[in-house]
Amino acid sequence: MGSLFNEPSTDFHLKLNEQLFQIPHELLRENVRLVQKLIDKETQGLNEDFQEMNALLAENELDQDKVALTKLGEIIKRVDSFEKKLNKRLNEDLQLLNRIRTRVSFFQDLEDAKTLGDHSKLTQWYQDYTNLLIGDYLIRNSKIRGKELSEGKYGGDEDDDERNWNPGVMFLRQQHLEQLIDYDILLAANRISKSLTEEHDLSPLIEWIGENKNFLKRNCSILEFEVRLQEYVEFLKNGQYKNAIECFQCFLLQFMETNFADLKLASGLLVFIKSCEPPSPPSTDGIIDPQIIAGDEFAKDGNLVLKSKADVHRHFFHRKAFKSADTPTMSNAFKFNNLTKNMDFARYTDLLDAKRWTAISELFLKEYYSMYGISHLDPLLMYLSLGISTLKTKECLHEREFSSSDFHKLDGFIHQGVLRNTCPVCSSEFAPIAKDLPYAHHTQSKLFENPIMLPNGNIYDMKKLKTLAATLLRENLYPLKDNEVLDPIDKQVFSETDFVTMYPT
Amino acid sequence: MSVILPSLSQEIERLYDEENGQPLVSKCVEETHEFKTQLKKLKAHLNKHIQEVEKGDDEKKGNKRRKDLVVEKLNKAHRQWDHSIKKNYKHASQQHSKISKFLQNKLHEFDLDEVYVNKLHPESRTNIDKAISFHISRYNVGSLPVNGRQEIIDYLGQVYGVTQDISERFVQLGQIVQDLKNGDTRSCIEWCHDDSLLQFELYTLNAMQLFQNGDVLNTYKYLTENIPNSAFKYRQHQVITQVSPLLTQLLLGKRADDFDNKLQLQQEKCISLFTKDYCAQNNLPFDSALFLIILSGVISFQFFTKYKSIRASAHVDWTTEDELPFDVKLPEFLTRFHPIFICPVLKEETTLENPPYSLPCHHILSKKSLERLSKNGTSTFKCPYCPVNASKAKTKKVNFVML
Ligand SMILES: [Zn+2]
Ligand SMILES: [Zn+2]
Repeated sequence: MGSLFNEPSTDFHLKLNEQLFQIPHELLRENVRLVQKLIDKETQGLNEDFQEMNALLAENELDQDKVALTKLGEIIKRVDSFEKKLNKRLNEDLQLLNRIRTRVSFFQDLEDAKTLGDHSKLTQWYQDYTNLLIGDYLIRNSKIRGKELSEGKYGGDEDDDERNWNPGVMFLRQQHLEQLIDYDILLAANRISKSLTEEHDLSPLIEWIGENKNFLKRNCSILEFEVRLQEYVEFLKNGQYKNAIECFQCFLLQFMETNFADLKLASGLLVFIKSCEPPSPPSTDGIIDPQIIAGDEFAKDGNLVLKSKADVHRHFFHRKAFKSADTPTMSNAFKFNNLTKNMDFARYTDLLDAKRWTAISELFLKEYYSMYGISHLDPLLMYLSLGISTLKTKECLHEREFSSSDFHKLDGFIHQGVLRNTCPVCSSEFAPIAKDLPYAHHTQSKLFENPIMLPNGNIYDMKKLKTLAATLLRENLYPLKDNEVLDPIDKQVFSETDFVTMYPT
Repeated sequence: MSVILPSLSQEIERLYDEENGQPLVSKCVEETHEFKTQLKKLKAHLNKHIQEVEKGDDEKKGNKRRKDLVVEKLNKAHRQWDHSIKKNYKHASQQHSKISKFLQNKLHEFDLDEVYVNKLHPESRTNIDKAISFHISRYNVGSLPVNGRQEIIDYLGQVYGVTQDISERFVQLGQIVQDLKNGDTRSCIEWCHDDSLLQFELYTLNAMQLFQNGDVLNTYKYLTENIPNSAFKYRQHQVITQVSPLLTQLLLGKRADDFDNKLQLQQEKCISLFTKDYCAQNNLPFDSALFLIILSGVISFQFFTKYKSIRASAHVDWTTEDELPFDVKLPEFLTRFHPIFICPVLKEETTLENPPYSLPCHHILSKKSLERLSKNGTSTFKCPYCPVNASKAKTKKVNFVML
């Protein structure tokens, strides 16, 4: 049972795509857990109801019987609403199981194409696979947009509780592949991550942390600590000292044992920020605390601009600083990664730096993806890296030199059609990426049939060179005599008697 | 042959109830529904009892017995429901645990992040977006909800961020593919070249469509009058395999059983043939670079994982400075972009700096090994592959060109 492209076995593919089963299964289990909760709660409640009802009925009084009848009515209502809730869970189950079944049949298609030895079916399968990777990449990385496009003039599918869409979801729908990816899971991650990096909003993440406390605890995650620390820092940045202190006491103090040093720094930050505030009235004009002046050497490459508390204050609080005002405010240009690490100053600015948003987002994504057993690196990029290296030859990324002839049409034909480099690694999109990746390793030459050498040293496939000559003649692109060929590279004409058969190994 | 797929499929089927074909939880719903119905019935009985007692037209004993029966039935129903819903739930939960184990044991083998050694730079994203733009234009332009020229360009731009210089190269492809999908062959017929295979296949498709509509006479007329002039000259084979059976069915007055399926296949054939012709004519690659690279990546994956496990057991480091540490066997259509010549002496791929040279016997070596054998051109040497003697002066630099 072969492979047609030397591609991996179906089983290998299944292992490679473990997450396609892992995620819906995880969601199914979650659903089952909800069912359990529901059953536990309702059976317990109904037990109590029945006891009450039985007690009433045991009295053997007409009035009590009437109360019992009302109670029975309530029980029926309760059972009815329980049934509805169960039905909702059942639907959820059904959808998730459908996803899994679709995926099983997707891999069955692969298996069938292999068994039948059907080239075009297999190619089609890999195209779908590629499209899935693209969908995955776009869902993870592109912006989530509002409804306007999908429901507006383009009339996209308007089914579920679609609050947002993104190009990845759109693409998969148009390719009818949406059942093959758990886009809701990826989209949710993207939404939380983007709210951090783009809106500097912690609330969606805090909500997520609340829902997944157990998982994070099991993994000894530092996510919650980092998030609360950020919340605290943000309060400080906004001058909301009271909120900051409250946040510190409610959420940060509990990490005293595990993150003592960080907490010390955090409380130091409060003092530091307070000390950066402009004293009123500004009396110390032009005088900078020598302790916090960074040495000149840090400024040489132009990266370092923050030199004083005043700068810090101006940068982070966008307020006019107390120092001399003649330096223009260019807060966005500030970079402070070159500050010496042994200074408290640098540690504070690190804490205040907007880069922390990206770091928190990264940390979150790592936890999130590991919860579902998904790779947190984009699978598309991984395949691209492997694929480029596998295809990259020593001839790649070099412009081939051509000499042009006096025949304009001939040159066009040859460069567009005959010598056009169709190598994907050499394409304008991938050449810059391929530059930094390793070459493929080859132990055997991969050439062509019937190699013959022309007097100029160029070696061609004899048949193809002759076919080219025939085409040139037929299309009136170049006047060749019988038994003559044209070398497409230097446009010289040679006779077939000049051919030298070669023996490359 | 896949071992995992059948058992995976089997495991999944166990999450469905054997009797009703629904997910296991459905049993709980069914039981609950039945329980509810029973309760309602018993409530009616209880109600009746109360009313009769109120009317007072009874002998007490019979009534009491009836009430006891209702109470007993109520409690029995409750006990049974409580018992079976818990049992059902337990069963479902066990099946899910089994699947967990199955996935963990049978599917969990790689940590993908570990294989991804040579990470792409974040700056690569712009180029990757461009490659995706190209890919989406090429493969998805025929599946868009818009059809006008400017609308297609706008749509690709707004939804997928495709720039116009890329999208406009695929507009016509998209329009015609969409038409074909809708069963309209006119735009494609107008586009295609006389005497091309595409023209013939479109002719067949048209005839099949007419036949599908049940118009025997028209179909016959179309088949005989519209056949392309060149068909008998170049396409005798297709005439015999495609047109003749159609004519026979026509004369017999009935369509083959799987005619719908055949029509669908013919339509797909036309779309794929047209796409090929369109790409060739417009100097567009038929397969996107992205697709070819991904496919190579998938193929190479097994070599990477194999290498990784060897490396782990041998405690060797992953060194990929310049070349991958293993040879990935790719199919022919992924290796014909550049000629690859491995110097038979040094076992290295020749490069611009170390080009191939031909010896007088027409065996080929790399420059480096030539210099080594000739002691930097100071002496003659014997070809490593035949008894012919060579000197550096008699060699010639050669250049492999793939056509
Ligand atoms: Zn190349
Ligand atoms: Zn030789």
